[in-house]
Amino acid sequence: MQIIIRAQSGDREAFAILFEQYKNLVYKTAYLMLGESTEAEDALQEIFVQIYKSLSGFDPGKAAFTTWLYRVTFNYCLNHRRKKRPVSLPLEDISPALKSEFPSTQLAEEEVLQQAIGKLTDKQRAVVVLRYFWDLPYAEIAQILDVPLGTVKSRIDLALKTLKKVLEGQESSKGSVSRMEVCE
Amino acid sequence: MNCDQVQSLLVAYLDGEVNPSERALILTHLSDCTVCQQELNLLSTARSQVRATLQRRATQAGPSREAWSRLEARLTEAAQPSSKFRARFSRKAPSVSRISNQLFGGVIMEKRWVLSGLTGVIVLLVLAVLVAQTATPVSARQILDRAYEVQTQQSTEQGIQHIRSEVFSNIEALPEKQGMDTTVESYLEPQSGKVRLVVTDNKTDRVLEAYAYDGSNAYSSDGTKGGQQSDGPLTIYRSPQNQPGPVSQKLSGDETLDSKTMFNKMRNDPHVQFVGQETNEDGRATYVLRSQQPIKIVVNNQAQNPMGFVTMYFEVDTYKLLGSRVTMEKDGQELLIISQRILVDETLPEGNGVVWDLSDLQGVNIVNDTSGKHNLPEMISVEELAAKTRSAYLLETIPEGFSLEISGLSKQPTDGTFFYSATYTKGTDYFMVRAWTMKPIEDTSWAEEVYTTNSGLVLYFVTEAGISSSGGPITSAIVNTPEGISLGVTSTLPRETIKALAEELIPVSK
Repeated sequence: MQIIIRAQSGDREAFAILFEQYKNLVYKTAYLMLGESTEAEDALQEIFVQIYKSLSGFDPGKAAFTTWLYRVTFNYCLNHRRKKRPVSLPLEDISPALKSEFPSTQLAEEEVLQQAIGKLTDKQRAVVVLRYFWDLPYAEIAQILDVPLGTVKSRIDLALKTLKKVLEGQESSKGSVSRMEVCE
Repeated sequence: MNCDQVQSLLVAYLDGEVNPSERALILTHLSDCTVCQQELNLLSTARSQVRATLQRRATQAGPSREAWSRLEARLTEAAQPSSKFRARFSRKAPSVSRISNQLFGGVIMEKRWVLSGLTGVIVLLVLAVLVAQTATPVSARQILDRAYEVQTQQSTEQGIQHIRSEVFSNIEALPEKQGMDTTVESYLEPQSGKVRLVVTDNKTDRVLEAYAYDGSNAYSSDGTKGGQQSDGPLTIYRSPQNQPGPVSQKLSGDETLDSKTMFNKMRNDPHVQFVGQETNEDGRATYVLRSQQPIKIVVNNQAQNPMGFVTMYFEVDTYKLLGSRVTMEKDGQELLIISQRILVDETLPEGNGVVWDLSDLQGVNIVNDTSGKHNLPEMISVEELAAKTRSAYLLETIPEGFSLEISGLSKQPTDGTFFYSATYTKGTDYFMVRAWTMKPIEDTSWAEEVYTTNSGLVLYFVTEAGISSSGGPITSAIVNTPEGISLGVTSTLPRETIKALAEELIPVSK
C-alpha cells in the first residue's frame, strides 16, 4: 500500500515498481481477453497510462487495488472489443514450442477449446478468465465487473456448459473443430 | 430438487459457490441420480480442461522487455500536457474555438451558459467544508484528500446551503484591473431542488444576474445581461415549472471552468504543488496549492483554452476551501482571470425564510415569460419527444446501469429544429445527444477523426472541449445523419465507447 500511496503522489519510481508487480496481471488478462500478443502489448501500455492518470482517484477504502486494476483492465478490453463486434475472436495459434511438448490428441483438444473460449461472448470470456485463470471468487468477480452476483453465476454457468458441449462434440467427431457460434 | 434444478447449480457447486443447504440438497440428489452424476463428471472434466488451457496459454505469454521503456516515454508525455496542448490549440485554435462555441450554442445550450455562473458558485457549496480536521498534513495530496473527504461529507448534510463570495472576473483576459468585481450569493436546498442565486456589482450594488427556482416557478435573467450597462432595471423572466430536475441538473451538469472541475483536475494532477502556508486577510492560516491546467478565456466572443495556473486556498484547521485564483501568463506578466474569496459558507436549517421567488430584490423587474423564450428546459418523456419531432435520435436501448433524462423547451417554433437534449447518466459518466441544426454541417475540416456507423451516421470528433466534473476528458462530436440534419454528442466515455453507442442511435420515430 505504501508503494501505491507514493505512486499516487506522482513518484515515478514507485510507479515503476507498481508496473513490475502488476504488469503480468494486466498483460495476461488482456492476452486472454483479446487473443493476440500484439493487442495485449498495446493494452498493457494503454491501461498503465490510464492507471497513471487516474491513480490519484483510486480510493483504497472502496476497493482493493487489484480489484480496481482488474476493473480498469476489463473496461479497456471490453471497450476495445466492442468496436470489433460482431467478429468472433480466435485466440492466436498455439505456439510451436507447445506443440512439441504435448501429444497430438491433447493438442487437438486444446486447440478446440481455445477456439471455443475465443468464441464466447466477451462478457462470458471475462468471467471465465477471472474464475478459471485467476481463481477469483464470484463475489470479487461481481465487484470487478460491476454486475450482480447472480449475473456472474449465470454467465459462468452458461460459459462452462457451452465449453463442455464443444468438448463433447470434439469427443464424438474425433478432432474436428466445432464452428458453433455462442450467444449469451 | 429435481434434475433441472440440480443441474442449474452444478457449476457453482464445483466452484464452491453454493450455500450449505444447496450443497446438502445437491449431494442428496446426486446420491441416487446417475444422469446428474454424469453431468457433474462432464462439467468437472470441462472445468479442468478450461483451467489447463488457460494456464498453458497464459504461461507462455508475457510483456516484451521494452514494455517499461515504452511506457515511461508515454508517461513523460502524459505528465507534460502543456506543450502538446499548446501545439494542438495553436494549430486548431480558430476552428476548435468555433466548434466549441457551436457545441455549447443553440437554444438549450444558451440556457446552460446562463446557468454556468450559477454552477460556478453552487459547486462551491459542494466544495465547502464544515468538518474540522486536526492532523497536520505533509503533502499536497493529503490536503486534497482531506478536503475531498469533507466535501463529500458536507454534500450529504440536510438543510439550506448558503454561500456568499466575492468574485473578480476577467474572463476576457484584459490587462490587470479591468475585470468586474461582484458579490455572488447562493442558497440551495438539495432536498426540494429550490435554489436562488444573485450576482451584484460591487461598485454600483446593482443586480447583474439572478436565477431561482421556488418550487413552482423558474426565474431567469437570461438574455438581459446585455442591458446591464443601461440604467434600467434588470428584467427577470418567470415561467411555471413543476419539476426542479432541469434546474438542478443544469447546476451540476455544467462542464465549464468551475471550482469543482478545477479542484478535481488538481486532484488528478500528479504534479500539483504545495506552495506553502499563508495567513489570509482575516487572519486564518491557509494551505496554498497550485496546479497547471488548461483554463478558459473568451477573446472576441470565442472560447480559448490557454494553459494557466489554478491556486486554491484551504483553511488549515478545517480543510475548508477559502478561495481560489486562476491566472495565466500574458506578455511575460501574470494576469488574473478569476479570483474567488468565500465570505460566508454555512448550512442553514430548512424553512429559514429564504426568499426563493426573488421578490425581495430591489431594482429588478420580474415579468411572466409569455413567449417561452426565456423559460428553462423541462423534462419530457420519449413519447413527448416523438410527438414534438421526428428528427430526434435516441439510443435504441438504455445502456445497462444508465438512466435517461430528456429535456427540452416547452415552447419552441414548430417550423425549425426542435431543441432537445437526451442525457444517459451512470455515476459521473454521461452520454448526451442533442439537436444541432436542421441541415448537415459542411465544414468539417476541424474534425480530428471521422467515424461512420453502419446506419450511415457520420461522427466528426473533437476532444478536450472541456474537462468533466470527475476530472476526466470530454469528447464531443457533431453527427450528420442520413436524413440531412445534424446532432451534437458529448460524453465523458472513451471515444471507442461513444462510437459503439453511436451504432445504437436510431430516430425516435422508429
